[in-house]
Amino acid sequence: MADKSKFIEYIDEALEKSKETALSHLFFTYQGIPYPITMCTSETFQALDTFEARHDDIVLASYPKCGSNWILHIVSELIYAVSKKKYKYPEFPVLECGDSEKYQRMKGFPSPRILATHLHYDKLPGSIFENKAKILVIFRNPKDTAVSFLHFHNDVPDIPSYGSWDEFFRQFMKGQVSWGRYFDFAINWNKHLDGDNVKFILYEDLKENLAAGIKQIAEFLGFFLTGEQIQTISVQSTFQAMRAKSQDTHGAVGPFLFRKGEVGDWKNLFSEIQNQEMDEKFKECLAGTSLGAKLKYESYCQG
Amino acid sequence: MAESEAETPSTPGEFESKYFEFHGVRLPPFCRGKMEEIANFPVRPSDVWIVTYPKSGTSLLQEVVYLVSQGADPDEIGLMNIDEQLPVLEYPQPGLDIIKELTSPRLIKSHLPYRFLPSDLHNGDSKVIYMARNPKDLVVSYYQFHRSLRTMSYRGTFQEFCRRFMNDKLGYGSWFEHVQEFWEHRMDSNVLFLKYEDMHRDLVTMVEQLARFLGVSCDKAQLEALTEHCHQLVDQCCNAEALPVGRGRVGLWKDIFTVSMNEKFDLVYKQKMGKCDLTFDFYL
Repeated sequence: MADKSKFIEYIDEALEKSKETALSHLFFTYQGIPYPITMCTSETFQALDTFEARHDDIVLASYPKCGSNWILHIVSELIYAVSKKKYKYPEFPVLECGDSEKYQRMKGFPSPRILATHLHYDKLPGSIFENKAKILVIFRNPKDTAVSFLHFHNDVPDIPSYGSWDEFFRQFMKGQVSWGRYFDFAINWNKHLDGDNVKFILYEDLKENLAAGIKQIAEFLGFFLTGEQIQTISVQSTFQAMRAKSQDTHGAVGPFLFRKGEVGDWKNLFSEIQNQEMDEKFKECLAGTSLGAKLKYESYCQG
Repeated sequence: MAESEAETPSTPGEFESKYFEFHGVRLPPFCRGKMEEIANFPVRPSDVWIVTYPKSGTSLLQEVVYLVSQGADPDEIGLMNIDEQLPVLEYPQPGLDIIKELTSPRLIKSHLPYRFLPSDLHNGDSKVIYMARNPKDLVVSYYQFHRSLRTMSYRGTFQEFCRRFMNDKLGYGSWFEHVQEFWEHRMDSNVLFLKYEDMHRDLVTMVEQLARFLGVSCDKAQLEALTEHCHQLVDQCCNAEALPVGRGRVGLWKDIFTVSMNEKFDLVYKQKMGKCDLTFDFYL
């Protein structure tokens, strides 16, 4: 991936802040949703309304730990393949993270801009929809997402840890984690997945057939690549390849961002009672919905 | 509890070295050298034997049996040291010599497999009550037991302990063989085969079965009073403040087993229970 010094700089700064932050003080709430104080500020959220999206912006929307870094890499490789220009990250790519001057600076960035976000649909700046930016919505099954989220907290040395999986699971289900409750995020997006400018991507599908997934993303973005180009990007974008170069691309946090990437790892942590609780939550929130079907919950969470 | 007397190793390594094999069954160290004497132990027709694999609800069953057979009051039972009244055959205390001399009717407990019990029992010379518990709750309870005792202070993970259980590597050998062996004798006239879960699901029927089996004659009113007393015992056992919360409840395993562990366990269970038609309630 491109020179990521800004990216790494920002992460190092956030990790430094995390060192002095206890888990109980990690979050602040803005409009009912908890965000990490190490990455977000209320000033930035207030300034977010001034953000001006462009028609050729590429928005990557996902709940945390659902593969946004993976898609970020794929999209920047696609841009490189069609423009022969390495995609530069002059800012940390997560839209809502950083200082409040960020959006002013972003006005000067060349197109296409990649904007990652973990914001719920109704919290996104209106200009994204008004200007019909392309939105890739990335989902991963909630059980593996929860497990990955825990490992991120408990494996990265400077991030506050949870005492146990059981403790984390309780907080995850209550939405007392960064960016709030998975199911709220999902319910919010469910009604908006069929828009012309929206493309749904399932993490598990990418794991199963990466080349096919990359091809679909390229077509959605209007990039026309040869089979050979798709294959090359596919080889460079396997989870193993990403993990191998994660230190260079993401700094100290890299190996933790690309930990296992397995489908079904949840079975090693979820107790039967927790499994039941999440199945019931899924049923209550997403059963019979368009997103519910797209998530292939039976295959990945009840196998 | 009497089991705390057992000198049992603390680490997985020691676990291997301290147990000993007797005819292919792993037994606790205190059984060494006395298996022949146990086989020849003299049984009386008035004896009542309570046999279980460890952590199958032995303490609760002994109190219910005592209550049904002696007509005792549950509050009275709470004040007695019932373990002294119901010795465990193979334990070092009080020992075989003392058990031999106890006055009739004797209530004797054991965790030994059917084939290692006194041969007179096999000939139908006294009553045997066997209680089985669903293996998922049992292994959780057995693990917590190993962790809690000073003499055991087991330091392995639950996953590792569960693997031992599935591989028949715990004291008293294979749970799967233990229950199946008794299940094969459930029709013997001197054997009553019970399930722990029925204490929670249908105590009335269990008390009736016990009364009939023990030859205790009682009318409907007496039976109701007896059942009510037994209910109190079950509640006390499962809600005692000094104990881990809900340690006696059915479905305890669902808090502890991971989904992956449960899948593995189900495979082993299916394989080891084979064509046996014994079934369990894993939750109520």
